[in-house]
Amino acid sequence: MNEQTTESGRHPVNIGHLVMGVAFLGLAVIWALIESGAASASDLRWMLPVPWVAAGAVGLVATAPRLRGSRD
Amino acid sequence: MLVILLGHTWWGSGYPWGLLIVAGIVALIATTFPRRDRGAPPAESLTDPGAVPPASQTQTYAVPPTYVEQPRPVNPRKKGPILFWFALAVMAVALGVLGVVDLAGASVAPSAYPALVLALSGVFLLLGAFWGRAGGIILVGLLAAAATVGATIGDQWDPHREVVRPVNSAVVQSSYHLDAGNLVVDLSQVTDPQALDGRTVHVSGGVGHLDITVPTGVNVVTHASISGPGGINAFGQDSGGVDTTVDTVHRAGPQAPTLTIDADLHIGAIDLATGAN
Repeated sequence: MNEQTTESGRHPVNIGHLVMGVAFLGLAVIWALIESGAASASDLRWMLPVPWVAAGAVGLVATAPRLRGSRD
Repeated sequence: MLVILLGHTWWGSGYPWGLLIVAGIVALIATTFPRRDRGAPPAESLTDPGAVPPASQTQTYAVPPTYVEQPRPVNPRKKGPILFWFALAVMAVALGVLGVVDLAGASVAPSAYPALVLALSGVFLLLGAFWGRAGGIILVGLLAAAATVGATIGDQWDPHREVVRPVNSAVVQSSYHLDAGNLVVDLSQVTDPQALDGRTVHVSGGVGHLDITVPTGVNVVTHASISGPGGINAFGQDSGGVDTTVDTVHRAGPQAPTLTIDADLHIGAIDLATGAN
């Protein structure tokens, strides 16, 4: 990490915040679909796992460079 | 609320909200507090104070304790401004704006308020994943998610209401049941209450409200119980709490017929009263 990125506040990806951020936004989208009538309560059975699967997938993708040994 | 989340499901979907909240709290703690077992060696170390000098120097050499300052390594992911207070301020402003819009007459669902906080928590966490420090916002998001679930259930849930109003004793059944909702059993319209003498009517439910009305001029023996939290009002006798039972006898007269009411409920309220005949 160079000095410029350090001073600007940019840092290597924080996986925990990334995963939870995606999950929360996904839950908010589901709420919007329910309230707008685009989806019904019965659709929650398959919709609710989607944000967590997406969050986990994003976390795995972000973690992959570290698993290869590169300390971003 | 937590008991409902941990012990039940959301709209029958079987979704493990309780486990998710616990996992989120664990993740928050794991990401907020630094690991002490790595990456932070002691700032000071003593360079072998107990070393034994060579035998030839035992008379002239004494090893002084030497302290060497070592720089504490910096966590590269804890750079930049702390976003928590700024995020709270943005959430407060956003909630205020939504409240103004609500008061102005727009149709704003009550669950929109926690959902807005939930969405903003997600935005700031995504920001903090790459820039700044977003510690603490996960907890805000978890609380907002729980509040959104509760408020949305309150918005969407339309309790089922079932009304039973028999007009004579022949059609009065021996039992009535409703899993969830409001069950009204109105026996006040029975035209031949004398025929109810010696009958027992079981009224049961899972979660909700049992509203039972008996005809006037009938002695009523009541056994009412709620296994969970709830309240019972039987002919003016109030009782409430958890695992509540009320046994009462409502007397209409020595020659009056006697009807027995057994009412059972898991969570909710039971009301028994006398109606017009």
